[in-house]
Amino acid sequence: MIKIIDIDDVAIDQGVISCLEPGTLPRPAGYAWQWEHDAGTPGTSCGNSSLVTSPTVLGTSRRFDFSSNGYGGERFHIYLGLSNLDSTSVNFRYETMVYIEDPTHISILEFDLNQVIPNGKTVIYGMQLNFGIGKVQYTTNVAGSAHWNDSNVSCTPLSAHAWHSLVFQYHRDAAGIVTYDSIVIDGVLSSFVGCSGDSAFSLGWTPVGTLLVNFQMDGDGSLFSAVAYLDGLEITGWLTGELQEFQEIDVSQLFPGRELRASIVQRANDNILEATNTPEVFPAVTKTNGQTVALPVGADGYPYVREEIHYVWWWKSTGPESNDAFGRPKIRLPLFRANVDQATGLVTIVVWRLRANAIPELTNDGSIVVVPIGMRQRQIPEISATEENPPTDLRHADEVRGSIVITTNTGALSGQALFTVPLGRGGLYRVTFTAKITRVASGGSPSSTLGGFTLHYTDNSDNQASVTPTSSSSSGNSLSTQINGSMIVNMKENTDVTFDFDYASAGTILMMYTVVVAWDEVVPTGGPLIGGVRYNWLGNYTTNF
Amino acid sequence: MTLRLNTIAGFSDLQNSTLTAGKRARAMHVAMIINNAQFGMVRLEFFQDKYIDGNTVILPVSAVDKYNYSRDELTYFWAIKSTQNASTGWLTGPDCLWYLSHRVQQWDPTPGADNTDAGKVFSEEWYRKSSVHNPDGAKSSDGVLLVTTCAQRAMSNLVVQYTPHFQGDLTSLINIDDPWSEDLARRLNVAAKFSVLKNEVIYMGEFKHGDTVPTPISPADGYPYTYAETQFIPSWRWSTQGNLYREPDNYLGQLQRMEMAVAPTTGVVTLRVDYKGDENSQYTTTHGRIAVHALTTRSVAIGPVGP
Repeated sequence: MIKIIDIDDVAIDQGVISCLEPGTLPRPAGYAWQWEHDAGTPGTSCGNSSLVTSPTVLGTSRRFDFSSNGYGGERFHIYLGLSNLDSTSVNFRYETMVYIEDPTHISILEFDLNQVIPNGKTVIYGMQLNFGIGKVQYTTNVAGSAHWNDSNVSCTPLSAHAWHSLVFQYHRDAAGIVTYDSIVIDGVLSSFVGCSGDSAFSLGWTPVGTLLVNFQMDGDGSLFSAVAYLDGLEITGWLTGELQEFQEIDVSQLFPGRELRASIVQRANDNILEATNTPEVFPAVTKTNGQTVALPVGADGYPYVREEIHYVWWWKSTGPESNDAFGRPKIRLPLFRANVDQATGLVTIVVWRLRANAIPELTNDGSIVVVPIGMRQRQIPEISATEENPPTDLRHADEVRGSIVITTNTGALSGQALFTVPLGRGGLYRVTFTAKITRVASGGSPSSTLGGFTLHYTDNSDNQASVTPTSSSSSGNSLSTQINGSMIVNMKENTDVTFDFDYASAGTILMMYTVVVAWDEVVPTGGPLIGGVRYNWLGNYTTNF
Repeated sequence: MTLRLNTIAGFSDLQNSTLTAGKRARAMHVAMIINNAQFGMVRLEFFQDKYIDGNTVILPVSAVDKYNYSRDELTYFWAIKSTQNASTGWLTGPDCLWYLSHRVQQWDPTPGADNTDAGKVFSEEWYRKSSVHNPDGAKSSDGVLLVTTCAQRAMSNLVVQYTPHFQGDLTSLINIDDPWSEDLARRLNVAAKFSVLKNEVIYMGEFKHGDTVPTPISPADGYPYTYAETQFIPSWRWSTQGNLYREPDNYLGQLQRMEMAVAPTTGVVTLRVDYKGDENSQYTTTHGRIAVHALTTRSVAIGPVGP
């Protein structure tokens, strides 16, 4: 079973916005909307498409701009990509909501699904509302060409500036004989009678399983422009007997003296199974920040989509506490929050900490326990995340500092990485180093030169790659030989900082040394007033004690 | 396809003794089975939203069949979505959290109980500065709760005389020319009732560290759930001493960590609340109190048809 939802929300559009259009575009590598004039229609047309937030039913809809002259039709389509290949489903449902600003000159709305089946042919499940003749029509293959046939179901033009729901359902056999089953227009079900025929075409499409969705508008012969929107566009495909859905039974058709049809009993049985599986409670999972709650699959193989999942969760722990740059656990809890994104299952956990003599800092400590609950055939609304709004001048709360220790070194260091200046944190940094001989050179004609030290960075004032003057070195060759130094430089944000350390030694045993380099952000004084408490940038929590 | 139902189905405890071979298949009985399955599809629904202190959880309306839930069909669990003040997005008090208390008032089914506050949301968060020299806390109504409203139709008055069991897929018993038989009718009847009770949400009460949450019993048919059939959903009631809501001792300092678990196989409650005191002192306690709901799922092993 396959269910692909929110097809209208696919963000990529790759059509050509020009009149006339240059024919069919090459199939995109991914999942993208394209459009072109349908050469099978007389006249001309051109189009455009984009995502919009109004009008919409579900938050985002896709807009289709259409210009036509002389009955020209514009075809908008989306190839559903390699991740949605399906050659086995033989039943399909095409479901969408459609909104038209002014349908006056739209004579036909067409909604097709194409599937490449195992024999290599492409089955076109073609349906259109032909307002010109007032009929719903379906496609079959007549002498190698698509032919539109009138069905027994009538249709009338859709009203302007209103959402209309449409559901088309059909099935095929192995050879591509398609039987068109039903259409639901604004909740009114109509069954097709005798609407069946060969609808397999030799188009040479690959690979097998390719699915492609079409939406097309045709003009009425006049020169005009129109705008339509689709929302909630989804395709469901399944094997016979595989569809798992609850369908309401009209019990008014049960009355004394009337025979009880097996189809009703079968539907009752299927409904009981669906009701038994609704809700479906999945095992609890523990999640930390940045992890995603996997989309569950029902015990009977039902393919849930995110909209059908409630995420019930609770805090397992706000800890363990992460460590600061010096290996000490961060402490206390000024504020904490968590969220599971309904649309993606992404878990976000934020736990603020407050070290002694510091200002609050953000961590992603902690974990939550999530119980996904599946509710079939539901559309569960999203709940927005709750995000804190710390004072804007708290941005320096997480001071940048750290150190590096390199031991048992018997050679020079070149381009040794220190740290990256974070985004938005350019400014003064202090770098301090010390180096000491840990083994003297000996044998032969021993000699040692320790240092000097050179810092490489990007200067914040002129954006130039810069180098500090090399520090002095020492030619001593004893365990008490050491050099040290400190420098303050103005570093640019989002740049790497490295250092070189020079070395020379002779003898049968070479000199060995250790170098320690530490860095920290030199922040300005004068911090924020939070909850009546004045912080300062050097970390003194002034009224705390 | 999003489920939409045109009718609001009720529940009937149709007895199998009325479905006997030789008797006419009564349309009314078939309709009862069909309706029970439809009732089972919507009997338990969930609604989630954010609430703050002083709010009252809205009475939900089913998106499926427009059923209007009444307060006595609702129970609530909650998670601390954020401890922040919903208006400012930040803490209201000084320094750090000290202790917390959250609650959504449950419906009390006791006859004559005062349920005026049922569904009301309470959030109380205290802040304090560090050091024993700053013992005074600041009370706030900060906090944003994610409240899950469990809506169970006929929560307090659904009665099923005999415990139903899962019957599996009965398709093989449905014959085109002879779609009804005593065995099929009875099994469909039982299966439809099972679909109603397969999942229930039962409020278990409040617990502290070391307590054991017992296994729940279905209020509808007395079915005794096992721990294996139960998912406990805990909600923090408060972070200070479990048996008494009062401020933590001064020396403990500020809140450092909150941790909770209900062991799935034993129901034993484990709570841990750490505090950060002066200097390097840190205190690990078993403070805290939680409200617990049981979200139950009956086994889908095929069982007897029963009476």
